[in-house]
Amino acid sequence: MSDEVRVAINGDADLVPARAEGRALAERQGFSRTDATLIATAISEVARNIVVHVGRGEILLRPLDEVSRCGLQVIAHDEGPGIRDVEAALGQGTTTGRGLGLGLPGARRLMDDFEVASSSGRGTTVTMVKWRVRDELELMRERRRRA
Amino acid sequence: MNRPPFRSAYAAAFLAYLADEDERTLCAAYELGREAVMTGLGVMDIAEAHHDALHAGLRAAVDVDATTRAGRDFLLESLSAFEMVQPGASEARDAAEADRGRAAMVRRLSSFFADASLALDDGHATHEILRLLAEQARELVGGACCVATVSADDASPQARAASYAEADAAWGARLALGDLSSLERRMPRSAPVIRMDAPGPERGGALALAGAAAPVRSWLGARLTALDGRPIGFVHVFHHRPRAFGATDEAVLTHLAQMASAAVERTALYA
Repeated sequence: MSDEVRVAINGDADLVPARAEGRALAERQGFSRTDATLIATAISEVARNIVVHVGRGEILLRPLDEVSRCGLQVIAHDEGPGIRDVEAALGQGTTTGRGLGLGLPGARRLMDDFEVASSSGRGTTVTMVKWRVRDELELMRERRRRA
Repeated sequence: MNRPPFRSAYAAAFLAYLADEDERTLCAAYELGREAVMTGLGVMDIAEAHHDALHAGLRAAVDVDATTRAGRDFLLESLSAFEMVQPGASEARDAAEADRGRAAMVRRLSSFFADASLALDDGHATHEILRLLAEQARELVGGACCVATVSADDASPQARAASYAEADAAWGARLALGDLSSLERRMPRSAPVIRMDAPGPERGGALALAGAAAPVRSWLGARLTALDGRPIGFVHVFHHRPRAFGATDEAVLTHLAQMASAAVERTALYA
């Protein structure tokens, strides 16, 4: 998909371009400033998780468009050792926030959909989506544009 | 608690953002918010730090509107870490509430067991205790099916009660009547409770269990023991979902098994 954006994560400094790309895409998708900030924060948390636990990985940002809503999908992938107990990691905030609820659990709270696929030796993929419901005016404009 | 170094770091970061509004300087606000959460500062500390920083920014501002807009963006960014943890606090409150509910139910169950164990008919009392144990254990640890058994020794007939949801009737009935001895043999004598999850899909994805019509992917078992340490029965909780039980469930089931063991012993005393 041409609107997809890939950001390589190799260190702390890569949080900045990942956030910038996420924020820019969020604004293109019509998210409010507040939601764009929350998306940027969630991206920072999953990127930080890659840096802290694996060292390198990638973040893929993808716009989603449906009839009544649009969204932004974030896929964070690494080729690390994997998370042994995903439920525990999500439940207790054991990742990068010293159990305070930051890290993966924090990112999950900021987004609408959140899924972690991880298996031993095959790395970890975090997929999360923030949705925005299109209002009537927007839908009407869309219909007119297509007509 | 608003440590002066945090306030000065916040002010410096905000002034840097005013001088060069980009993602790098804005990212500093996110880092400061994260640091605030991790060091125990609160939203009011951020508010105070932000007020000072904005005041300093406005004193030097050429464009007041642009400075206040930048102030808004910087504040949003610094508060985003709190958005992550505040729902966590409410989840923790809900969990504490659930714990209190469980504790109250265990207390009520304790008196039910006491009443049941004083029934005149020994067999009826034991069955009543097992029925209470199966129902309450399933509810308290969130199992799909629970089976409780008691037998005085290997040669004696086994008393048994089961509890399962209507939606799991066929599966639960098979477990209720099935041979659970293979699981019971896995429980070490020294451990009061055992928790086991099914192996991954590459190894069948279910616990080997004779008579189960649906796969068992989680099993939590506790032994019922007499005061002299002699095993007198078991309580098993099953789920078709993997990793359905945790350490808290182990503790709850151990407690229930201990209460039920004492009640079963009392039935023998009063029979």
